[in-house]
Amino acid sequence: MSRKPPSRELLKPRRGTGVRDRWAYVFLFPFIAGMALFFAWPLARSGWMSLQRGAGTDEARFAGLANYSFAARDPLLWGSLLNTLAFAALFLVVQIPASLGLALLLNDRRTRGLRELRFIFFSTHLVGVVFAAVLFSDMLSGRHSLMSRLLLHAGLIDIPLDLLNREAWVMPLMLACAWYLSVGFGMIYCLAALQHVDRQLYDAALMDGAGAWGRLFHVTIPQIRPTLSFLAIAGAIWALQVFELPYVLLDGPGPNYRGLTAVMYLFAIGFERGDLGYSAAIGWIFTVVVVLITLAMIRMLGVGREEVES
Amino acid sequence: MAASLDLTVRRRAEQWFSFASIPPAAVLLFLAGLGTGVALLLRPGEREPELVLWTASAEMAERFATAPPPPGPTAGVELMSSRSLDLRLMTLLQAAPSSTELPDVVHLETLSAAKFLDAGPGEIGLMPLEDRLAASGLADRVLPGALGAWTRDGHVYGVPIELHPVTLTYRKDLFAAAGVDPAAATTWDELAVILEQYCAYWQQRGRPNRRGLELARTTSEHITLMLQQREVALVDEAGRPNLDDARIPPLLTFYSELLAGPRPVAIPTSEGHGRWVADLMRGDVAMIWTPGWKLPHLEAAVPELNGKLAMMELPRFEPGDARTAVWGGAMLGIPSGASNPEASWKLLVQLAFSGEGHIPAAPEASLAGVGGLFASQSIAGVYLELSREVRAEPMTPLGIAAAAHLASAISRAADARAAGVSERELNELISAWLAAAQRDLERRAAFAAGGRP
Repeated sequence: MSRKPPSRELLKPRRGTGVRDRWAYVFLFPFIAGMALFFAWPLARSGWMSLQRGAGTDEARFAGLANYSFAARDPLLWGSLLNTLAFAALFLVVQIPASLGLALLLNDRRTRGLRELRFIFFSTHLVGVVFAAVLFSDMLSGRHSLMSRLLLHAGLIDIPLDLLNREAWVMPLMLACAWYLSVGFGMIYCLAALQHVDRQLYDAALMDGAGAWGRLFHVTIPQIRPTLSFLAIAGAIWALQVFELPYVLLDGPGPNYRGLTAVMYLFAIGFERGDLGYSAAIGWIFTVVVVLITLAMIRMLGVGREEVES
Repeated sequence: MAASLDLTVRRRAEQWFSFASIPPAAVLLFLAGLGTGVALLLRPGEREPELVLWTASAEMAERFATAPPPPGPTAGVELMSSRSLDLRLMTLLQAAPSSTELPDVVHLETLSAAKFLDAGPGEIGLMPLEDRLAASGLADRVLPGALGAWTRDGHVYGVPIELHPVTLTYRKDLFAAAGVDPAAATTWDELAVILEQYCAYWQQRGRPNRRGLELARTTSEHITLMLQQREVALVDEAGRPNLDDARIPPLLTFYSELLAGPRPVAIPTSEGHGRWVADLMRGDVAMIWTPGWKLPHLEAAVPELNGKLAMMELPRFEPGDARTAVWGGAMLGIPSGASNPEASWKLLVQLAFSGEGHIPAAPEASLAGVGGLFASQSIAGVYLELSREVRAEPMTPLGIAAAAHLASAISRAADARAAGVSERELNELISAWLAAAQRDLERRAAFAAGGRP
């Protein structure tokens, strides 16, 4: 016996007013008040601040778009944005395939010690960003680092490694630390998604003569696309907002500003130099960049299209 | 149907809320908790001090705690991290400049103070103190070169309580083993030759990683000291950036030669106090820059390096150069919105002028534990003598930006020199980088000035 679909009338949103609706607003009030107080008001205030000049204890004065006009010609801001975009792009290019690769490995029943491996790979995500940055700095750079000591002891080098003081090494080290933190996290998501792929699809693909790569590209990836899209967008937003990692790893912008990210620059201008107006303008410019990138990714990855199609 | 449901709900409610079902122990526990809460709420609060000092220095907090209480209003101290102090003070000065939350006296270090002294006329959040210093006769007790760091447009915004002239501390034993004496060098060129001989000696004995001098590769702290010796300020008194000064490119070329030339003699020390001391102890670096605030960390080298260290003044580039420079300092100031300026001034005087003689005093307390490292050399005497010669310059946010550009130039120059770029080419490259940095700083200076009336 098939269930009768609900009448269209029932599905229409009710316009009703009355006591019940008013109670709904009463219960919603704490949340709305919290949002207004701690999100909308600071947001509006920072928008207003971005139109004011007055660093330090100067009285803030309305300056129109002066902060934005200066930002347009600020080489450090554009340099920091470029560093941030490069970091985010390189981060995603490796993080997602590496997460998927590990998940495929752990999804294979022939792999031994699945639980232990799963814990080992995921445990890096439990380490905080600051701790991981200190760990990498201690392992890879400086006279007292583990790597230097090992290589010196083995007689492979004469002079200790000093990677964090070398411009060319800054980005690779930042990326290595970020991958270390995030690949296990992505792996868990991919693993969960892989375990929900219908086995019959693989059987059908096998019967059609698909090899391992064919099954990966024509079955696995299309089936777990929503998860991969989520990882890509969440990863991009995280990577674009990166701050603590270079701040702790390099103890500053690094050689020749190579580790200066947009949020780090915003922090330095606002809280180290005391120019909150310009700092707010940088925040808004950066917000627009992040929103545009996220929207482009949503469009490119077709997020939400699956539901419409289904 | 509805009536039956109503009855069921009521019965459930009666069961849940029946006091008979609550164990007496739980009732007693609840009452005890309630009583304790009420007692805590009604207890008489601790009396708030009428004057408050904010500081990020444990040493200053200790000095406050051990000083006799000032006559008049009661006083207390709030010790917090320097970042927290900066943020709280800046927020209050910006949002509520006459708030009662403001401290009555504040202890600021050079870098922190930069942003508090960077404001238009009449908008600096600290009180000018030159009239009080003059009227009280205390101005004569302040070392003349120490006030510069806290002076803006002729007004003094802080009483200096720390000033750190810089010396070079070196491993006497290691240099002696190499048959050279760095103290014999009166110029940087002479010192470079001695350092080269030192490194060559240890390289021949299978220690190629031994370097003579500590030099930063990604920060500008050491080159700034060299520039101070030559009286080159990164930003002049009128607020104009100075990176286009003709003396900077040759100095930067010399600096990168020491760091990354064909026979490098300098290297950065490791990050962290324990680690740079370890570098010195192991002989990886034989000579380090020592402002007074660094010395207490050398206690970690006692007794291993007892009698093995010596201290010397900085060599000069040219005869007229200074034989020291300033690296760090601190002052006591009064926020302009302080509620009782007279009482604040009394507290400040008590803290700053508690000892005899001139202020800032030589860092004798911090030298107490490390005297044995220097054998018979009187290092307190060295600092005292040098502190009379220094001229502290005000640090500004533009100065901090200039220092960052200079750091970037060091890093690029060292990489270029290591890659084999000749000295002449490097000098030209450095001039071009500094010219670009100067243009950026001029834009920033104009932008900052544009926000003021």
